[in-house]
Amino acid sequence: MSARTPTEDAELTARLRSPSTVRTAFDEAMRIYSEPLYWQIRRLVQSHADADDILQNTFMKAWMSIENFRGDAKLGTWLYKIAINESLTFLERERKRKHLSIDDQEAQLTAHIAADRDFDGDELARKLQEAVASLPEKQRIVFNMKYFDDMKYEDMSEILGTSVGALKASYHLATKKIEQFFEDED
Amino acid sequence: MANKSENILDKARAAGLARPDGGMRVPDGYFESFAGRMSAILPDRPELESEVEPQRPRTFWAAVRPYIYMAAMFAGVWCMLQMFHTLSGKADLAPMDSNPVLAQGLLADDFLYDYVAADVSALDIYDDMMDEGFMPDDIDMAVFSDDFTAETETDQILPQ
Repeated sequence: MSARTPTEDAELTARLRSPSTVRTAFDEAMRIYSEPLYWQIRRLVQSHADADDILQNTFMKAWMSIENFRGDAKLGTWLYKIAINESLTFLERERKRKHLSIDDQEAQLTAHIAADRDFDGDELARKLQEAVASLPEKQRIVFNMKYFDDMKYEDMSEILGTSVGALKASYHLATKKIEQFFEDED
Repeated sequence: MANKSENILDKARAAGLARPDGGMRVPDGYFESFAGRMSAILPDRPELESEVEPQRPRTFWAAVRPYIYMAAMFAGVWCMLQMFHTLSGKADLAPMDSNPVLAQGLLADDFLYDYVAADVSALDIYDDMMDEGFMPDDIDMAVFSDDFTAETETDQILPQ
């Protein structure tokens, strides 16, 4: 999650709850969280166009239900939850639309990475993304948050509603599977 | 095996890949323009941006109050009906057939003679009997002599 102090978060939350400042505060929230949320979404769906659509849906839903954000949780946590739900809903909808199994969809994501022109061109980076794409959805989310975002397990626990112990176990399993992926490639 | 995995991930980390984008790219200026583009398509929410005091969450009392009031209203109506019933005195009257005093009185012969037979004219009985098919010859007119005498004494138009 973005490195913001609790005071900054509290101040932004207070402005979001005030009618006179809610709009400007939400604009600021979009400026702060659009990039971390985008990468979280992009690593799940791979395509930039899909990630852009999902990010827009995420902020649209957040804006339309901003009165439900009571400030009990962090703003970032609330937005991450919406973004991940939107991403998983998108993947499920795509599976149904294209009549794909989960395995088929993972293979499709891996193929998309192999052919993606929006990649830096680093072979290791591409292989790593392919390995991550081969993970089951939940493990992929956990691995992405920990490895790429360096998120604390406590924050992940709040977003995903899973215990810290289960998250650690999930991350450990994910690293094992990535190792297996690289072994199979060799 | 675990070491190899860690090595691969460490190698990727050392190569600078353990960052949010993970080696992926976005169109130039995408993040710089995103908030502005998004802000332009967000609909206005006047109800959110007006200075109306936010609705407070409903208390337990506020939630159950309508039901309590409705129950009290029905209880009041019931009490009122009971009160009218009591004041009208009908509540104390027992049905006639279950009142032993009335039943005994109705079955007694004296009641029949004193209150029913005395109130019926002999001429009415005679008319009823004629309607039922009795002929005047079958009837002992002496039974009605008193009545006939009374009639004839008062009605002087009829010839003797």
